[in-house]
Amino acid sequence: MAKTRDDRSLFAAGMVLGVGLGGFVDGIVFHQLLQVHNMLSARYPKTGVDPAIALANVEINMFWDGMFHAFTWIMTVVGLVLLWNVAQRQRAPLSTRLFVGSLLTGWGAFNLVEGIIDHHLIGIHHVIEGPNHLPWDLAFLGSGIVLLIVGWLIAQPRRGEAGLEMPGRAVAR
Amino acid sequence: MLAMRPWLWLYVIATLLIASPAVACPLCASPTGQQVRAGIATDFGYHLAAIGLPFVVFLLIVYVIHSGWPLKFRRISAPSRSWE
Repeated sequence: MAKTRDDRSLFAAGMVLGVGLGGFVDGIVFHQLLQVHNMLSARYPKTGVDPAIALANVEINMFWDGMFHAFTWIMTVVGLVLLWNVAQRQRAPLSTRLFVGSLLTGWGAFNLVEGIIDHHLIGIHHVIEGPNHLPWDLAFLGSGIVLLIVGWLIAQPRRGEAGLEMPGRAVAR
Repeated sequence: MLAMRPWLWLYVIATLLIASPAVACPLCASPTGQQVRAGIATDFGYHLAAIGLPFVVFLLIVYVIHSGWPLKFRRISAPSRSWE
């Protein structure tokens, strides 16, 4: 997949960009649309407390969700910078397969890391708060593993795959 | 603060007017707003570290992959340019 320095650079750029894009999917779909998986929901719950406290807790979680989005945005920028560096190397093989695979691998790896640290080790939040949060947290880890494996498989070159040549740049698809 | 430009004063006043119905925002001068500010300030560094830690760990993983260890990949053929 990425034996050369250029291949590894493209894979690394895709992984970091995958965290950014995956983080935004998480933030938009789960945090905002479904209003679950908020960053400090285990410490500042919005259910099972007085309505006035729940309102403050929602606002506190909104602040830390914003901080998560800020980190995600930084990762997106870092990924773009890395990708731009790779693209500027004229001999770098810009493989679509490798890039898409690295995006999914990055997204999956981050779900795995975030799930293990935040859900299980520190316990600052869970996917769905409540007494039965474990199945949801395990499903989140499972999604990370699936994304990681699928991304890894997509990034593998097919047997006998040959690169296509474009003016000024070596491109492998 | 007093030397602010007129447009900045307008911005502050407009913000306060708009914010007043939403009494729970971190900038709101209300009991709930104070509660929100206090909640954000409580263990701020710890919470920031907890939220940032997965990103740091992930970047370390990417660095390890980028450095070429321990993964050895098959190489995608990169054809040379036709004029070379």
